[in-house]
Amino acid sequence: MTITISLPPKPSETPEFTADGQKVREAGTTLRTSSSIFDDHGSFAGGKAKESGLLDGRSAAAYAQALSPVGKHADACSLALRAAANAVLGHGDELVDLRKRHQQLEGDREHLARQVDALIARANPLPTDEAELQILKSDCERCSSQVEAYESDLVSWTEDLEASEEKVAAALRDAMTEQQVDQKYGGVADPADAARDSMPSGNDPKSVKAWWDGLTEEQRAAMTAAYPEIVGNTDGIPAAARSDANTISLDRDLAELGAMPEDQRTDDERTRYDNARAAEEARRRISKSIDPITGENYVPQIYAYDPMAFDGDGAVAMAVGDLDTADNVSVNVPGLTTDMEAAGDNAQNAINLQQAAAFEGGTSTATMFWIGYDAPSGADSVGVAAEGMATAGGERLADTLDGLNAMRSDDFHLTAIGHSYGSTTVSHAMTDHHPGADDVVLLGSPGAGDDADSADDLGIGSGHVFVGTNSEDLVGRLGQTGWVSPAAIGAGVLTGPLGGAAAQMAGAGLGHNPAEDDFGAVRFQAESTSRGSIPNIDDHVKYYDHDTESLANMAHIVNGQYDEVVRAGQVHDPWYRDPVDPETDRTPTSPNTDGR
Amino acid sequence: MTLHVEPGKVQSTAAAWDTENLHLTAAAKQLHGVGTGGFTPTVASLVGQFVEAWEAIATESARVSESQADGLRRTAIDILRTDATTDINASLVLSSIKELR
Repeated sequence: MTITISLPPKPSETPEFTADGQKVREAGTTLRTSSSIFDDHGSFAGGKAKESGLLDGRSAAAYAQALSPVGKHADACSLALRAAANAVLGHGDELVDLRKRHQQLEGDREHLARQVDALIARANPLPTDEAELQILKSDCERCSSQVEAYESDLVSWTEDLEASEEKVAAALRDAMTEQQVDQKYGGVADPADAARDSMPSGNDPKSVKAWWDGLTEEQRAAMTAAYPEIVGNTDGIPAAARSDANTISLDRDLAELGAMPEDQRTDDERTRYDNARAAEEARRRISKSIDPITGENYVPQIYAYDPMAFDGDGAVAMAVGDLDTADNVSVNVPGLTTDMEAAGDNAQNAINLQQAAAFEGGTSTATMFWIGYDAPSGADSVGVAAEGMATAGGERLADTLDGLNAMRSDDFHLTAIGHSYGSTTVSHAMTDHHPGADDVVLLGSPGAGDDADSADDLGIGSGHVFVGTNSEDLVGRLGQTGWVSPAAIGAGVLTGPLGGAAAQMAGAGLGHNPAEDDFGAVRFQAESTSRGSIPNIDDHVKYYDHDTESLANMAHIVNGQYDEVVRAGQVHDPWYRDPVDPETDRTPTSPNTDGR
Repeated sequence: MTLHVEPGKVQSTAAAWDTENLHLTAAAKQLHGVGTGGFTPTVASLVGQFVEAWEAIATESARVSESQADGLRRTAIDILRTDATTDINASLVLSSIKELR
């Protein structure tokens, strides 16, 4: 019997592939930002620029005549550059996918080449045993078919790369000269305008989500480029789209105002630029930090960006992780003295919490810092504002939480975390508006607001209201505890910006101390190994530090690992003496929260 | 006599054109900074040509904006100068029209 054995061919070399889809996306993002500048230029030329102030008939007519082609050309430039930007962004996405497939091909080729070499060695000399020959034949046939599949995948990969290159090249060639631009896009209606007109009135995030889902891909891209301030800050629009839009707004502010000589900036421009730079610092910190699960840098999501909000205090929210897809999402609300300039430090808190959640076993987490309300800062006085800012902030926070729920069609775990005055804000969101948060964490709370007599009043069950209060955190002692008047702790003994503000908070009366037993929340351990020996402000700002009890416990709460949360004894208020905090006498621990 | 110019409006619109100039100059600078390093060699050179062309387009649009601002101011000043020969008000507002940035 004759057995014919065909040795498998060596697999072709995988071609070198050095393209970087992420860098290509960055290029596309810059083109889109520039298209947005042209878009505004066209709007200006077609709008405000018409008000020349020239009343002389001939001069005014000459000016108007010169204006028209400028506006038309700017609009055409905007559309052309946007189309090129979209093509480049799409090409970037395809290159990311092609990169993954290329890595797979390289691995397959290496594996197959080793297999082929092994088969050649087995066939030289050929085995004499017939059974062995049959096995060799079968192995050669299997390997040959694997090489064939590899070759086919390689051809597909090459074709897909060429198609992607050709598509982006065609888009770029189409808009290489001003003549081409005017010819193709002159007088063409911007799809963003029709999309904008169809946007639902009111703020219902579910209606917004339905509207967004109903737009075409082209309309969404157009809205993002032409109306970034709307897309970037409207609840119900998916986080990725909001981030794209806010990236345009932020990059524009940095580019436009950065190019302006400092002494020529108006007060508003100076404020806008300072806030943009603070947001940039937050973005930089997130993108330079490492996800402990993947080992890769985080990609920040800019969920909100409004640098002139609240009379220039500014509003910004940024996430570490993907808000659109993460199983566990937390919204972190800062408190006293927070304005947009604090974005960098708040980004660090969000990074720490994301890393800790990952280290504690969370496989899919997004943590967002939310400077989305007018917190007491600078000239704002807590004593004067009392709960007003927390009440107003609570409404805005509830809208944000409702927006997150509306933009997601799946079931995910949402935790609202408030620190300091932010805890009063979170409480107000829950008691006044009942948004769909699963868990609440109140950190270093000066009081849970005057609408919360107990944890049950937050509307999610007392077992889901968690409280972290360092026993020597001065602010954590300011809430109403039994019959003690927090104001008695009083002004005059506190110094520094936070100390002075804490003194004001003491007199503001921000509701019950949520760490007290009567309140009925779950208090978790939140002491620090560097805890002071008397009530102080330093212990008010350690809750998000790595290797602290509070961060570890927050990570467990964010992950929904309730059994892992280490409970602490609650503050109680005997009739015969001052409130007693059992945590004061416990030796603090330092759990590892980042594996380092 | 009625002035043939609203000085406040001329000044603010011309200043807005100046701002457009700055914004478009920023766009040109941004385009100049677009890197081609992430692209494949097949596409990279075309991207280089594209951003160079668009940097020029943005620069030219910025120049046109600056020219609109200057032209508006110049026209207004010419009209006011003519008016000033017969109207004291025109000579008083002449100095309010100037380039700020």
